[in-house]
Amino acid sequence: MIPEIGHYALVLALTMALVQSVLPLWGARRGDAGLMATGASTAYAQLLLVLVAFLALTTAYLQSDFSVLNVVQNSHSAKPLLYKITGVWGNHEGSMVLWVLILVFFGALVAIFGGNLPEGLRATVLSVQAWTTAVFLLFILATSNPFVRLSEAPIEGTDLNPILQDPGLAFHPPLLYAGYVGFSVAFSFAVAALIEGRVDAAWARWVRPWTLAAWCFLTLGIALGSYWAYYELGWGGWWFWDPVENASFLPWLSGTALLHSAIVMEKRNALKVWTVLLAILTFSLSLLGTFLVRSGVLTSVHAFATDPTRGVFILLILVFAVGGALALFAWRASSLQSGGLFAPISREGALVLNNLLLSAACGVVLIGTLYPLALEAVTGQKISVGAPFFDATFAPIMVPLLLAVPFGPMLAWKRGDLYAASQRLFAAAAIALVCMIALYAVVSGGPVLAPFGIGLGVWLILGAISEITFRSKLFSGPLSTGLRRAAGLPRAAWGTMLAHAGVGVTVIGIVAVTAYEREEIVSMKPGDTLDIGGYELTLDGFAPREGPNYSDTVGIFTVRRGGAEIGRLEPARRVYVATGMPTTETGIRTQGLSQLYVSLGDAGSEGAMAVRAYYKPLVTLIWLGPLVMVIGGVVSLTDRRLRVGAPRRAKASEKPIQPAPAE
Amino acid sequence: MKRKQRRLVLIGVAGVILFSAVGLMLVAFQDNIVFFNSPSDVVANGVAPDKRIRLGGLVQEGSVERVGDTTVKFAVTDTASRIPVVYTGLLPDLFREGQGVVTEGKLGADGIFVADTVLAKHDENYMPREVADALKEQGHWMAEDQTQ
Amino acid sequence: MVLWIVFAVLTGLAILAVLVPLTRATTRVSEPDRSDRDSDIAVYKDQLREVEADLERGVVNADEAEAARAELGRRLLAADRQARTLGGAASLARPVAVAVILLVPLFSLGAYLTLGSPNMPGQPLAARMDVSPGTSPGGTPQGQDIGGLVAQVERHLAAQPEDGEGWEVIAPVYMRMGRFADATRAYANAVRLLGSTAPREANLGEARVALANGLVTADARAAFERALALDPADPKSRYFVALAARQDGETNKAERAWQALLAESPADAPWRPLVVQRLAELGVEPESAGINNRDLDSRGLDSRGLDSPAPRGPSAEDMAAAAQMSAEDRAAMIAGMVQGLADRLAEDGSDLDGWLRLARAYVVMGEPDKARQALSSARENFPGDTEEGARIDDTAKTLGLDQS
Repeated sequence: MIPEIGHYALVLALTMALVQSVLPLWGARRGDAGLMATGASTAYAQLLLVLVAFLALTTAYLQSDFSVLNVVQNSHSAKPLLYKITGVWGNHEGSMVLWVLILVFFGALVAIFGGNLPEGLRATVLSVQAWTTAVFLLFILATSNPFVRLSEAPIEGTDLNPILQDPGLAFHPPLLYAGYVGFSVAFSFAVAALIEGRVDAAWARWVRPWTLAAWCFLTLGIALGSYWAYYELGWGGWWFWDPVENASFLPWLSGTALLHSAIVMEKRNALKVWTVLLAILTFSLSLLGTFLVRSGVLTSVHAFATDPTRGVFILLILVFAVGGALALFAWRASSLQSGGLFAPISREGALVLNNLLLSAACGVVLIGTLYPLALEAVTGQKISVGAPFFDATFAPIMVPLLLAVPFGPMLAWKRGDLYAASQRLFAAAAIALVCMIALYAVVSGGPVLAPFGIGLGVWLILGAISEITFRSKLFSGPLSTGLRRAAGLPRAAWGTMLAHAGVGVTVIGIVAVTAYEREEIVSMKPGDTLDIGGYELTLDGFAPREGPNYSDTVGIFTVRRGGAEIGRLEPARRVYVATGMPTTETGIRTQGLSQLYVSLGDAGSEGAMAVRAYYKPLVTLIWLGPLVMVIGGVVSLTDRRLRVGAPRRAKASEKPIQPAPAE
Repeated sequence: MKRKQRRLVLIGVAGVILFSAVGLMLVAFQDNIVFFNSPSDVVANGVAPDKRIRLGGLVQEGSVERVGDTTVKFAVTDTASRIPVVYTGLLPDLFREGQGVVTEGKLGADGIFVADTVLAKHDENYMPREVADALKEQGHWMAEDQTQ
Repeated sequence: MVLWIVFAVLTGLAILAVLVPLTRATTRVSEPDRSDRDSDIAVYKDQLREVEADLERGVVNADEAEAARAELGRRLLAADRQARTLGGAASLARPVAVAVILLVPLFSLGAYLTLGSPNMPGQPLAARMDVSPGTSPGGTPQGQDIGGLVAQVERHLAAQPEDGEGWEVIAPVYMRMGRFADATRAYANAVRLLGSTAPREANLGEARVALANGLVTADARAAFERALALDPADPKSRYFVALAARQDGETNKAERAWQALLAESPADAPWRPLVVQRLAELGVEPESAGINNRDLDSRGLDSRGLDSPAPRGPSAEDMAAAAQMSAEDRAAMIAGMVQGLADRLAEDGSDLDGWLRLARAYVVMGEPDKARQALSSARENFPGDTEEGARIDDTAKTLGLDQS
């Protein structure tokens, strides 16, 4: 019964989405308050219904209800509880339900917090959001229905792919989806603005926090995915420019651009058309990411949907959404009034430069990702566009951007003074330069550009801090007054500082690992010792170890530094019993910000085993940086200025009648 | 500055960035694109020395030979032709004789392919897509032991 | 019944979600222009406050602040001018309400009934295991029987884990159910409690091979070698030791071992076709002459297993053999049987049960397209609105093949 309730709830959610697609929009065009008011309540209804469906599916997994085909294919009664739950979205059908759940959740948030939006805009936004929901629900029910039943239920299910049985990966998709889907709000607002033919002042205030929230989720999701690849795949790499990774990176780049252009729009009422376009493009790239991963057009471990009908359906969604929105844009963009003027050297100018460079980077990654697919489709020639291509194109575009970042917040709106800004940044630049020179003198070996890269990271961090010290006049006058002033700065300023510093942290991590990493691949026998990065790794021996659904051959290493024992490393070769699939479990030891990373290879002759050992200096910064960025984003979100609903809350309650959610 | 000048500056900067990006891409495309070849392609068309390519096919049964601690010699075959490959490093978990493999590197003057990357990105029943296609082209699609 | 009540409640909530705001808001006169302007003004006022704050902190100087204030004033005026005047139109509440009341249930139920299986109860595993054999309403009686029996034996073994006979009984059942890890444990317990015999060790080894997806692991090999130490003629162990040799790349050794096994086996031994097939994979002809001569005493000159392909019909013998095979071999055999069924139906399509079985088999094998094809062929054989046609449609629905 429970699976059928979920199934019906999903169908009913589709009906509600169709109702919401039409009525509020129609009401907004007619000026009919009754019709517009249905937008919010149908949004709540959809959230409730999709939640029922999702919980029903989860229940089927928890109860190992093998009359549900999806459960048979992706679960097993002996699977640990956590992976029964994460198994719900560890497969195509379930993950699409999660996708829609997040979509309607954001829709309901718009309805809840939209009390102070102009009624017509809110109704239109909710209708546009419902279009996306309806199309995806249709996709699920038509091609990826998770509630298909089997009349003869098997006794046991087939296992979840063991490589996906990992806590890191279990939470990677929900975060990523929250990011992807969060951009749908910006998209709905953009399309609504085009339909309305005007961009309200409230528009930018709305788009920015939603974009920021989505961006935070996406940043976390990407960082988590990167760390998962790093410790799970055993190659020591943290970013492979794999198409699936690029698929999540593209919306991140354009989302970052959108975040910045929305600032200009909010503060200066300028760049309206561009911001609307970016909002459309960002969500389109999210959809493209979904298409690339879900359709199976890529040769990749992630491409688990190989049914071509699905691919065609998502492609249609893509064409419909992107093509439709862009056509609407072409038709209506001219009706949006352009706003304030500004000089090239100004905060706006800096943000425009940011947007241009980020868009260029995004375009380069997009072409690098799609070109092999297009070429194969047209000529049949198979090529791979790998890391060297992206290193050669992406990095040169990012370097000027990173150099310019600290200047942006230092410039005034409308007309900035580059000379004054440079003076304020002098200390940061000087220290970064000293770091560079010192590094160049001290460290022998490594690429010449490495000290420059580290210096760039230092420049970003110090530049971000300089902004805070300047704005709070921290060092002019008594320190306590300065600190008080600093604490009194708007939280958005702190957010900016943290986010920019986070970028610097990441840059340092990337450069340090790329340039100064030590790698050894040797064959080791018990008793052998390997020197790497100032550490001695002694292989004590191999031991078998049984896990709940796998068996390991563990290599036990003692780590010493200067003769003193500081810990152990236990990498393993793992075989999952259900599938016989061998995997590598890396042994990682964090020393300060650096890591020792050991993985085992094939067994050689006479009890020896191939060992791959790395010393990765400052590698943790690669993931700490995004964390700092996300903290910056969250701090900025808590700024009262951005807290939607605050400025007009008193008024809203005076309204004669509030649209009430149906309960 | 006048409105018009400002717009010119904006367009100018945008143009410079666009051109640099396109230029960078064109250069990178020339140097960094790696073409996929089957052993027969290599035999038939030859490969310029020092050009990076991907070579994919089946690991020939009985060809894997360990040289020293971490260097491996094996042959990649599409059943019509075979290319000897030498690789130093850790082989992926799923590298097996008779299974599909994709290697990346350069063809030496002696006809031995020096690989710096070996990929076996597939599970028990799944071939790398390029390899499967290449084998089908040869008309030698061999069903492996697994019936799937 | 409960299901339909839940459906009704959900549908009712959904309709209310549309109707309540629709009817309550109609009494209100919409004033979109005021609303638009208000929200703009609120935003600009906020920005004005921020300009003051910036001025206080010294981020902007007095001139810049003045300019910002002037600009905000301009925008405020512009917003005023721009405010639209949308007239409050006549309310559509009633017709829309009627349409919603009619269409929402109609569409939802219509779509659900084509997609869903409302008559199928949920079958949580725990509940299925608790049911005593044969009384469950859903699922196949046979499946329930096995499930019930297994559950009973498992309960018994949980209480008396030292009962070696119990482990020995349940182990082959686990094998047939594909629960290889449990089978391995059960055989290991049987060996521990009842003592080591050649068949037991061989079965333990086979379970380990199945667990490792057809790979003869070191553990499995050790078991086979123990079995051979007890009975050098044990065919299963000989077969798997040869398979291990083949997997190690020692093809010649494997070939010799299999040829020897074949030579010493009776002609009707169930493992013969398997060994012949293995040899064929190595590109080797079985040494037929020698075998037949030696087999004269048992079966005369019958060389069925050698000259003709292995029998493809699912005879009892094959089923027994399937139960003894490793997972990989079983998959191969099932594929062969399905192919046999498909061939038979291609010649004579009047066997409806055969078609439905074929479709189901293809779904299980993960080939929905072939399953769909089988069902459409079945429909060609049973055209029209008959009971057979309905059964085909039902099967399509339960297999989830009818909507994509």
